[in-house]
Amino acid sequence: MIRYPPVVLNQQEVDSVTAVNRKKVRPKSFERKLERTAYLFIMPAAILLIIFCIVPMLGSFFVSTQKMGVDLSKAEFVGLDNYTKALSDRRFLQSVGISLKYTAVEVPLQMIIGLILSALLAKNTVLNKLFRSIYFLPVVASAVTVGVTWQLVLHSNIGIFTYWLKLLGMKDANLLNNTSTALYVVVFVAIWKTFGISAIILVSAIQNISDSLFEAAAMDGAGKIRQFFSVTLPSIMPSFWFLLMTRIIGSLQMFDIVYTMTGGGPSRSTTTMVVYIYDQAFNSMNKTGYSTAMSEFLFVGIMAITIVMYIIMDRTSD
Amino acid sequence: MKKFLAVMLALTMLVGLTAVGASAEGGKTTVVFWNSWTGGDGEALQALVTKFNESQDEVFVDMTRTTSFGDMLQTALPTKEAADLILLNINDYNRYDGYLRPITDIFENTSLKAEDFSNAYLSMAYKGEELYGIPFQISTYMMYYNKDLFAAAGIEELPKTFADWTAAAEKISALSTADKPIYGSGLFYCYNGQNQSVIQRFGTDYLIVGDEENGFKANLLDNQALADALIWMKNLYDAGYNPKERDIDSMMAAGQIGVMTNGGWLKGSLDASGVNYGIAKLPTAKGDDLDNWALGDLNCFMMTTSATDETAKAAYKFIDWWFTGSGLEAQEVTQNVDYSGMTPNAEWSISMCYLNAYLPTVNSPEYQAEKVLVDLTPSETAQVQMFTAPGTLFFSDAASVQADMVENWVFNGPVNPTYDDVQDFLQNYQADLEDYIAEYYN
Repeated sequence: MIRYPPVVLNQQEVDSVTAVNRKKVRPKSFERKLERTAYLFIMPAAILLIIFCIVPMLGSFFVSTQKMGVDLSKAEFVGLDNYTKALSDRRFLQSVGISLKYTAVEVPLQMIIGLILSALLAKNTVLNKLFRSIYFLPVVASAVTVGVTWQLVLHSNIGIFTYWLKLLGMKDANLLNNTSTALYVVVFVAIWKTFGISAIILVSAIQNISDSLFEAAAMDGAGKIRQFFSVTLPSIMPSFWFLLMTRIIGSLQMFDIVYTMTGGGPSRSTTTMVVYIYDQAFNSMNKTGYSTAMSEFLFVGIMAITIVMYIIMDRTSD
Repeated sequence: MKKFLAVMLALTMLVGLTAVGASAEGGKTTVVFWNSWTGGDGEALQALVTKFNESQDEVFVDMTRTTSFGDMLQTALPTKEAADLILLNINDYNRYDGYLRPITDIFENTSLKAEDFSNAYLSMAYKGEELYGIPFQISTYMMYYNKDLFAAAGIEELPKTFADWTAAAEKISALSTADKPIYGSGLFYCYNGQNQSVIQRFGTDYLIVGDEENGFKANLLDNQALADALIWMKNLYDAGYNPKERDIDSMMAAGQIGVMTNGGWLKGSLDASGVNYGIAKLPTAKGDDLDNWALGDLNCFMMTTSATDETAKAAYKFIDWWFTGSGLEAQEVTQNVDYSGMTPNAEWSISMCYLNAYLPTVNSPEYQAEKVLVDLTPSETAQVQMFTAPGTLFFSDAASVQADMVENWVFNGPVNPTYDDVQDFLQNYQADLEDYIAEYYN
């Protein structure tokens, strides 16, 4: 092995090197050209993002300050009145509570189910691949189809699931028309529809873990379960946090399955924020301005959660 | 070669994205027609539209039936991409005010005459001097009853009061078995129209009373009739005579409901199911004033500002045909009944059991031969409007409050409620209606 004597700089040399480093290093023309090319390549996507996301978002802030229905020409500027109205609207506050409750139940359950399944199906055997495909099928099904189908399965009169419950002695089984159970039924269906994607993402993360880690753990005497908690879980944390963040965002925006299964009932027990916003926007007198203001609350809430999750992800990866 | 293929693909996509002009169907003027008639009656409506399209060479009606009708309309109207012709509840006029095209000139451009329409209904379609709608369907809520269940329960007379309804419900519910649950009463907890059609027959008057000149007042509290209605309703559910189920229609079609309320759109489903059913007037609190009620919705042909003069004239031709053309021949969608000897408007009324506002149809022998329709025909002074007075801006919001109120009452109201329980319960909803009065009429 070649050893090189350490480089020793005197103070003057140190100062000059530091001064050079402090100067803003201008990229060479070739590097600048590469940068321009890169920006050109991402420009179409950026333009689409600006036109279909940023501009409507800014437009929505404007709409939320208006009292208006369908006709923008009859809009009346009301400042923050729509926001203060939302904060005193008991139905909106109830829907916020429903959304939070829904998220608090659905997300942990889905993550746990996804995690367990991913641990069981991580190896690339034929059987595992088959099961992964089966579990992914509900993900590709249309949410409306899923909602309508489960509505029929759980129908109080003709539903096969209700029939089985009655055979088990639960004669008054009426899961969808019961304010105590309707929300949990919707949670179940939502998990059924989306747990496949959680499992697949985590399977992919597990498959990227180096085998040497498992070998080293095995050599140290760790069993399968200990390996899972000490090797697998820490290794997949970045994917786990990303999945958790997207699931929380998705849960807070839940609409399609709720709307098709229960319409927000019975007695608003499943009326999530988006269901209520939709109701105000498209039913009643088309309160476009007011419903936009409520959606801004949802946006701010999701943004806050996203920032917090990113901070946690950052610290966890450190 | 690759570049050539890429260019051809891009050009193909471009051509495919090009909007189609108005005369898409072989030189005919296309009239885009949207509505939300997705139930059993929708198939018949589609068949009639197809017949119109095939019967002439000038106009093609391109109809879309969808449950997302309201969403589509709301998003398309501001960009003038909505349908030319729509079917709309007259009470929804205020929601789309500014985007509906007056059709006052329809009587000059077709064979239709204003005096041939019932003034009680046509006047609802006027805003000032301008006409905005032609009555298409009067969706009066009716009492559907299962004849076999009535016979099995030994009930010979139809309910004329709500006490009769409860008595019938009790007897019919006693026929229930483990294999086939039977419920004497079939109220929906989730549909405000069906519920209001019975609630208002207790004599409650509108949810908001008054007028713009003298002021409006929320009418929930201190309303004995409303308290009676809610107590009656709750007792039916708590006694087990009425299921807590959104889908009462399918239960009725399966022969599990003794008596229920719904509009003419249920008829097609019941005809197809083979259940032995009858239709009659809904009861009232007193029972001797059945003729004084025709509660329901008036749905009209309306045009939007997305229509051009050309498509408006074409739509007038379709509307004219609706009242003067000929109906469908016997086929599956008509349950093999031949309606070709009558107008589509008459066929629609008779086959779907909707009252009619077009007097030549009402006075026709075919209409007069329909005992149910004649029986359902109300008096000249019957109350026809539900929720709030015609034309009031808070109609939709009041209807939403009622929906909330009834659903909450059914699920969370006290057992064996009293008048005071009702007053306590209605406080918040009274406040909601007062807020809407202030919002729309300052």
